[in-house]
Amino acid sequence: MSENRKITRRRFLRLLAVVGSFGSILPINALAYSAGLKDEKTRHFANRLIDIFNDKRSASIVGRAYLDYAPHEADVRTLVAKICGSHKQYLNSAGKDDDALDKLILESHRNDFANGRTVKVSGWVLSRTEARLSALTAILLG
Amino acid sequence: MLIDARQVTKGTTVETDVCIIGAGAAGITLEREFNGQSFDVCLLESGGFEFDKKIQSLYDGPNVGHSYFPLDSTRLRYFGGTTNHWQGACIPLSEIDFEVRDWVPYSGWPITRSDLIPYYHRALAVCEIGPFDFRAETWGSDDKPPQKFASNRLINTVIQESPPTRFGKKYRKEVIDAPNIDTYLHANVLEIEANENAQSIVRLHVTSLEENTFFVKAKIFILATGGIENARMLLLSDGVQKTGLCNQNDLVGRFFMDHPVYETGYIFPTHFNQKFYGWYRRDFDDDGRKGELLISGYLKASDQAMRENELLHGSFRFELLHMRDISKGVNSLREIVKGIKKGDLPDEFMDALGNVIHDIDDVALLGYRKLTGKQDTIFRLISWSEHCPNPDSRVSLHTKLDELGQRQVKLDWRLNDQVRDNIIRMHEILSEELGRAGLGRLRLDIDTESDNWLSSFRGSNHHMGTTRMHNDPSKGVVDANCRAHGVENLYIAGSSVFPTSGQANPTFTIVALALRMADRIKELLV
Repeated sequence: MSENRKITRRRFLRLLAVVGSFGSILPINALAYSAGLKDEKTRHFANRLIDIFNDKRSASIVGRAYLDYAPHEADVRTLVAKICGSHKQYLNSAGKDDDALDKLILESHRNDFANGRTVKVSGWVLSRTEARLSALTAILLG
Repeated sequence: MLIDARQVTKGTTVETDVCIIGAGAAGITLEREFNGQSFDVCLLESGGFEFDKKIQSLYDGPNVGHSYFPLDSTRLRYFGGTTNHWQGACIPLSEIDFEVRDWVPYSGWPITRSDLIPYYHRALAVCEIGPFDFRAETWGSDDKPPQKFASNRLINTVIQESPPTRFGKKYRKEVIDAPNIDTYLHANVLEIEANENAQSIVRLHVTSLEENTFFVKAKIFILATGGIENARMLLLSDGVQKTGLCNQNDLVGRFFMDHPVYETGYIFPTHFNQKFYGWYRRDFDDDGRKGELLISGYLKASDQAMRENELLHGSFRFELLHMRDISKGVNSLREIVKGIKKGDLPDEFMDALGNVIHDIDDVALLGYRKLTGKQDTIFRLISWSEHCPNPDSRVSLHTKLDELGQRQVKLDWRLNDQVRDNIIRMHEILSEELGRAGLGRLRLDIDTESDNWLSSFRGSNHHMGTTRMHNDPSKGVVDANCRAHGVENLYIAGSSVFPTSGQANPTFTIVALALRMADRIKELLV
């Protein structure tokens, strides 16, 4: 339990830093869709998204495998738009706190499976959301 | 009374009321039902009480189709028949299995599940299993809960595990002591002789390996030699109908089915959960028997999912792969999976995938993050499918002769693309349900892009369909009572009469159908 509290605190502090960079609590859907979104802000938001992963190195390995399958998605803006793009109804509620974003990602992930939006990565059937989050991690980690 | 056919004088004619050919699950069940009746019964069994290599070789024959078990080992030719090596899985067919389904060619039985229910109930005692209840909610417990899914596309159900009943041992004394039954061991039927218009059976030509051919006359003959041999016996009996007895419509031997099984899928669980596995496990000791475990759970497609997706009847069973279960020298999950499919995965991929899944599904399951240890378990997915009825999948006669001078059987087992497509769709459904529930991820290893997909499949030793049941004589060999179309005194017992296979192991239904036939015969003779 203490570990979980520690993680939450850590993530809370990280959230504060991210929020600070945007200057306010974000209407995330606008970020995801906006063609005029600044690269720096997109990158900040992308970093928030991949914070779902405790082990980013692992996510990066899976992400590279996904990008072998979908090389046309290999840039941050495309991936952020695709991860968030079809779920704007949830995005308005995100950005307020860490858990809200987790819930958003989880919702997208579950909806992917419920609606057959899956992709095979090295034979494993993954949700599009988790595969793209992994790909995002691979790109951001370089 | 027990009679050694090797001692019967050549040319003798045995006269009886009912003659049963074959002492397997169907034959012995029929014999027990006839015990003490007012009519006489003669049972002919090719083998003795123990396995005999020379007699077993009479089952030999080539397979020219999809890879299959050797024909002289996929069934057993001695008293008790194939129940001498069955594993004991008892499952009734489902309602949908009996229906005509537009998307399953040649589907539909001339009877319904309701017609069989009373006989399924009676078959419980024969197979030494529990009550007629195969619902997961009845058998699940806190220790072994059936896994719940978000949709009703997959449902949990159970296999009831027979000890397994070895019919040849369990019921031997009862059969031998029956006052109205003569059991002939080492008695091989060479021909079923019909009258001049093939509308009635006159007698059987029988011999032992001692070549002492004798004859059996009866009012009623029941062919119960198994899903392959039933067809062979009819095809060999070509004295009147040159294409084989009952084969006026070229149906005998066609529509051979077995349950296609493959083991090339894997589930990577989010968390290894002993309870999850507890529900789905099947345990056997060194003798192939179950301990005290009488139930094992499995997943199958719901009727609704089958209708909506036009699926064949399919099911999933699971095996646990764990580090402690695998061979020495394999010391990580990554290596296990590399062993499963060499060279297919980057070295670190499995560990990485495990971490990714944990991270995502921990959120799903717990609502907070949890640091997780290294995943070291994985489930092997065993998928069963209904066989799509196919007239080109068939049993016929080979030119090579057996020890008795009879033409050997030739098997041409064929699977079609519908089976492949069905299994792929079933896996898609399972992967979606597992992911949605946060239970794990699935890997499917069928090569869907090439013609090599068949190499992943094997059979189940369930031989079905070669004398299929249909009310229309042009579409079936036997009618709804399992009487041969056009032949007034010939009945056929066993899984050769199944028009479709469902996904259930066939023995329980074979016994139920035999009990039903026994009632029919008793009505006729008593």
